[in-house]
Amino acid sequence: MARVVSKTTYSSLLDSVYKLPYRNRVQTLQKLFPKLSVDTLKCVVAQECQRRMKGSHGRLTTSDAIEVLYNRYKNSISMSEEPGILLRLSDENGLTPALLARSIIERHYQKSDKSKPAKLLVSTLLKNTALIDDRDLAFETYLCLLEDDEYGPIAEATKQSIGYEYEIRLRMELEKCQVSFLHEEHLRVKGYDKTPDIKLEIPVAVDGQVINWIESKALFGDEEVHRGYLKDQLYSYWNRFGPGLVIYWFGYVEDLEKIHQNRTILIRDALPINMIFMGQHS
Amino acid sequence: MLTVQSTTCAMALLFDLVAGDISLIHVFTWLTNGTVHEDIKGLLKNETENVRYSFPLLLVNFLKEQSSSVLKLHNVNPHQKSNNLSSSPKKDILLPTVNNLSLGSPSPNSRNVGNCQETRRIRKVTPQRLDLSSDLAFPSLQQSAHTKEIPKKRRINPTQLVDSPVSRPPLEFGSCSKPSPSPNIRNVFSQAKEQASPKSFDQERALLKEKKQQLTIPTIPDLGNNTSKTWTCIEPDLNFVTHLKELDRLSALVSFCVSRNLISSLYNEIQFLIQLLVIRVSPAKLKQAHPTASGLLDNVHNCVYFSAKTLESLEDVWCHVDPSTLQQMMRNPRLILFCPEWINDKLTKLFSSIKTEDRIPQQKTVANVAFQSETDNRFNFASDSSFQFFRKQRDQFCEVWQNWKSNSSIPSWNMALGLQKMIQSLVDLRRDCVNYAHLARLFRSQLLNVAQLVKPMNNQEEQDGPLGQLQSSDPDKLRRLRERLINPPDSRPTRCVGVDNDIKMCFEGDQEFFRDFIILAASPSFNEHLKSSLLSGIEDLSSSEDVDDRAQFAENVIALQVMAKFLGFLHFYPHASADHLPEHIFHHLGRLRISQREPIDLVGYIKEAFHKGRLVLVVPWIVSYLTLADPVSFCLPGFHSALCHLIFIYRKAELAPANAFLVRISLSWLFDQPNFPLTLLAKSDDELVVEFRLNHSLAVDDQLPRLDQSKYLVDPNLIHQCCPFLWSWKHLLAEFACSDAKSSGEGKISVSRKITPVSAEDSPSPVKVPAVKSLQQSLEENFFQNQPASVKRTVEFVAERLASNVVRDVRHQIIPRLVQNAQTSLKTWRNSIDDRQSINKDPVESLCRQLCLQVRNESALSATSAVASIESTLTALLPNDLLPQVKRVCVSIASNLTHVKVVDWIQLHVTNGLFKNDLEIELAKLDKNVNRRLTLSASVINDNHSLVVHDPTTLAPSFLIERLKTLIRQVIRDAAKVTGQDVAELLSNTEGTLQRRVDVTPAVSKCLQQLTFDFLFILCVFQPESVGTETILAWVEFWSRTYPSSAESSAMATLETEEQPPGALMSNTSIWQVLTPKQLLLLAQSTSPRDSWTLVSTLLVQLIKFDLLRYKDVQEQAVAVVRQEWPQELLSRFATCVRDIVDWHRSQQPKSESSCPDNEDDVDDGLLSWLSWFCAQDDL
Repeated sequence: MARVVSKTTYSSLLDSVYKLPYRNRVQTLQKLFPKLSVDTLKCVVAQECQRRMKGSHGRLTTSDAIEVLYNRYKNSISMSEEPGILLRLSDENGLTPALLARSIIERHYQKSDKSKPAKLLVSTLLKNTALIDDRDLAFETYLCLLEDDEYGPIAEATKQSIGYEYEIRLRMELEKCQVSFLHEEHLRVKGYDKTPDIKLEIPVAVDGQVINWIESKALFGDEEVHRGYLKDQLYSYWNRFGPGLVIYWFGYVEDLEKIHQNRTILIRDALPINMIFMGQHS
Repeated sequence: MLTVQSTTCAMALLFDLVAGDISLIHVFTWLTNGTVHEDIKGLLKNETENVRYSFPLLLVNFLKEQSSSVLKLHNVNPHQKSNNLSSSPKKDILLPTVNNLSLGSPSPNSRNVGNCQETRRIRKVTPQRLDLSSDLAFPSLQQSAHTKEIPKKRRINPTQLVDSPVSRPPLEFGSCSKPSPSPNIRNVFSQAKEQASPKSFDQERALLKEKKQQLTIPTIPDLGNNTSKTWTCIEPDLNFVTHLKELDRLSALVSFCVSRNLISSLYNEIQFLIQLLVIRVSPAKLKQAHPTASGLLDNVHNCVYFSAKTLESLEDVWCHVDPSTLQQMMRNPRLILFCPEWINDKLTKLFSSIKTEDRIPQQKTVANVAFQSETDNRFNFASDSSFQFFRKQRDQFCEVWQNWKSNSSIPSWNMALGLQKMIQSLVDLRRDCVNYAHLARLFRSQLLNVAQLVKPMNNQEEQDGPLGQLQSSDPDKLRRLRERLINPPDSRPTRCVGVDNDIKMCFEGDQEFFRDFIILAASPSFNEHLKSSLLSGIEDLSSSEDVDDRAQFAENVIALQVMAKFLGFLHFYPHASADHLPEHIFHHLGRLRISQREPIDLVGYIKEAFHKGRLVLVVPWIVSYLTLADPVSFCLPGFHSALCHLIFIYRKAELAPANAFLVRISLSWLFDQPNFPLTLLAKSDDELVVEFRLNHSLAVDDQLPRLDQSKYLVDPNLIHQCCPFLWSWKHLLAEFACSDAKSSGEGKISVSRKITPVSAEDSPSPVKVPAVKSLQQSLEENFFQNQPASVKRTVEFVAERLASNVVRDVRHQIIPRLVQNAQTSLKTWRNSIDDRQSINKDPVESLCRQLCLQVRNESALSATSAVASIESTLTALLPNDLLPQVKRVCVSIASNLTHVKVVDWIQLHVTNGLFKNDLEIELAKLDKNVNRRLTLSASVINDNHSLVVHDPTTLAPSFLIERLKTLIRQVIRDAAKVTGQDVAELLSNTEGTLQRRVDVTPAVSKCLQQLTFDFLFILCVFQPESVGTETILAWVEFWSRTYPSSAESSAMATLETEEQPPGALMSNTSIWQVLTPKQLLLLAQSTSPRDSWTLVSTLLVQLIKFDLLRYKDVQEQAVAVVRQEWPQELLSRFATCVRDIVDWHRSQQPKSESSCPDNEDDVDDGLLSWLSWFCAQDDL
């Protein structure tokens, strides 16, 4: 299953993602792009969703808009509609279920001066919906969280876990290759200001290029994602430690390396197996 | 100081000498040691000592004046259109004239005024009027319209000699090579020469003698418009050389003066000789502009002859020049013609003997500054915010640098527009000394990295790139480009009028970035810190011991030069002026700065270097620094002492040949700076008042390796890297070869210079106890005195490293551990305070004292254990033939030293203040009650990590989350069936994931706790048939195993939500929410409510049984439920459930009463019984 995607494939993939209805896009895409790995497709869909939310979240969650949604929700409850009220509202409105639920909770718990409740309160309620004292809102919210793959505490935990799992996997693969390295936690203890996932204590060479650090990204690297990481992380590592490697475990768009110009940062979708070590003459 | 009279005497001597009336030997002796021969005495009378030191200068000027008229006509490219002479800027006024020397005080205008031109005047008195019409003498030349000559930027052009007014009749001179000259032209020419030249020379000399006292300054009209032609040039011919003997003598004199270091402008003279060698003059132009042939060097043949002879005699120079320059010389047709033996024999041998691969190059691929935790991590900053700000500053600095790198070559790009805002915001992002210091350090490190990477002008490389194409398409453009890069900045005519431009001109290539960064940042604070950083860098490297290795030495020399250059820039840039300073302003500024101190003690450095034999390391950077000085600085008295020392070194210092060449060529470059006070150069050795006496502080520490006599440190590569202006020699020759039709296509060879990177790191200077010499110390000193120097170095090194390791341990291990302990005890204290509601004493102070003591004790212990390894280390490092006793002494000294260093560090750094910050922050955190649970659970997880062996067969946590989520969704929405076996499998999977994996984060673990509980509860509700009591028991056991501190953490969670609005939420946020509105709503959906409620009761009982839930919690949950309205059926089931719990609890009471009587949580106040009764009422 391919994870490195050509620019043309990627743009036709994105086209399809835009055209398909939000639910179950991955299954449809699997049929359309049988050669691409499921993880890659999932990632692309997720990233599209996140981008869409980034663009529309502000507009959809103005206090006026939420007021309207909240009233509709209240109305539906008073009409004793079937559970799944918020899910239906979400489909209609475009906000993902968890984001909608969060907004409704914020409205529900708004302070007497109509300001939003403390963030900590909202996130505690979302983590454990049993704590919501309104039984209908609690249940509706729970249903939303179960449906949402991008937002909400469960989705967040999943994403965080995937990131960490691949980090650990990378560490273990490196240990297996007997590469000596410091990982993020070591670096933090040592007071580094920027901490790549892996800093190689002894550099290795990959495809004729020396690398000094490795960053693990359990997602799909397209240009926008990659530029973001370059700016916030990868160039900072390059500035401090020299050339390095970023692994997009769920694949990437071809030729991204051209963005770097003269700053060498390799891009791969797995730990290269052909690493050359210091003192190894081959 | 020379008077006009003595100048005239000296000129007379020079003429006699050249004419052969005075023996060269006598002059050599006189110049060497002042012994005056009768002949000389007769001429100079009582001026001998005065004249002796200025004589070489006069000689130089004489040569330039002699050749000026021809050099002026020099055109680089025969096919190039020529320019109107008078339109070029005043480039001819730079050289010292005879008369400048007689001016009493340095004056800013000294070079521009006082063109007395007496020799000129005399020459003018006896013009040779040879009236050979040009039509007869030369074949017709191609005519062209009035065209322009590209201004040449040569600094060697002699004094402003404006001779040969146009009105004079033309004089034929030289021969034309192409189109082919007819034989009779040559005859005509030689005839003319024979008539004219000797006569003019003799007459001039006679007149000079006569007119010693009569000085009148004639006004000479400037050269008017000059209609020139596209031209062919005169080819030199040995047969046409006149005054052979005179030229030989002159050449010997020059060569002698150079070899004895009497001529201070070494670089310039050779450049001048090469210019003479490659001179190209159009016969037509010559005829027009220069009708008289009166001097020794007035024609091309003589110039080339003299140049070739003199160059040949300067053997000491050529062995230090880079091979590509030598190759240019070897291919030079004129040299081949005039000195065939030298070229074919000696020079060829020399060329082949130069090894170009001597210095092993280290390929440096990384041009960025590596992060060093030693100097760059959090411990090097005063606060978190300072550290975070610098993180941004570092990245922005790199960004600016990258941006510059990719844009600076675009002509339309403007750095000020593109980057100024960013630079200014990054430099002053945080106005704090720590950030400035770090930024300055980063700046310096990046600068040094780049400096080591500067590429030489390399033809080989050019051929591939755009420059290579330019070379073939427009060689002249390339020449001008090169000139801008390579040629000495002060060779540019703008130097005198545009000082502001010029100090900036000293930076080329990537250095421009750093220059412009400073200018655009315009931050006085940053500049100050940068100065300090550069100063300390210079200090460190100047006294560096690490110079034994040739590559290391080269790195250090270059790094020092760059740092000095930028220090000079920072210091002198404010004094730069774009205008020519009028004298009164000049003196005013001078008075203002009379007591100004240099940022760096140059004299101190020079003296120290002189004594320690390290001139070869120090002089190049001092020259780099001084070269940037403004005219006023050069006239400050504080400056003069340094300059005098340098002049003395130029004359007298004895170094290994290559070292001497590097030092002298650098110095000669400095002496040629247009602002350099020439009067100093004419001073006698005694007048220089150089103090090289040892002061005792120098004598003490004499462990540094002496470098000046070392024969292998300096090679042509390094010389050219340190003195890039030397490339102009090669380029003069290459230019000639390039424009020469015959040799074009050849003569473009290159040599790659090796560049070695430097890693600049501050050596942390250990705190030194004021030196009170005890007997023990003297013993120690004497001990080392009589051992090989390496013994002391080794002992000190080992002690230094060991101490550093101990300090590192203290910083990274001991302090964090003890601080963490202290934080924990702070937490305990804080909790106890909470309970008693009394905050009285601040524990931080006493904790700090306690911590400080602990750290000091532990550090001392750590030092002791570290010292244990000294013996084996030293045994390995010290010479094997040392006596065992000596070794023992070394071990004990090293141990003591280590201890002292560690103790010094501890005294200085381990203070109460060190911990105060940390503890206060911790206290503040506790007050805010944030992060508490996170650290707690994180530490639990981390502890697990060290014990757990990762089992890859278990389910990945993300997969498990997804699975649970999907199952829950399916059970609620789609009524999907889950079998008992599924549930059991899921339990074992979850347990496997949580217990046998290392990639479970605290948040994920928490999420799984929630999801599994939700899952079980939902099964109880929707599929009670798949859940039995056993299942519930198994899960609750699992939870209590996996999340043992749940009851406690739920108590802690109470704190977390303290700030929430009252009434919004019950205070208990534990995961185990069984009787809440949501759960009741779910239960209401159950298809077999009886079974479901039974299971819920069981679940509650088990949770309480395993201490996951307290009886009190159940009370709270139940109370919250009854605040809302519920259907009666549900309420009665609820009542039954609560009754079950109460009954179970009562059945437990007798047992627990004895075991924990104080347990407030479990006291049954009857509330639940009442609730149960209340809810069971039908009429509610």
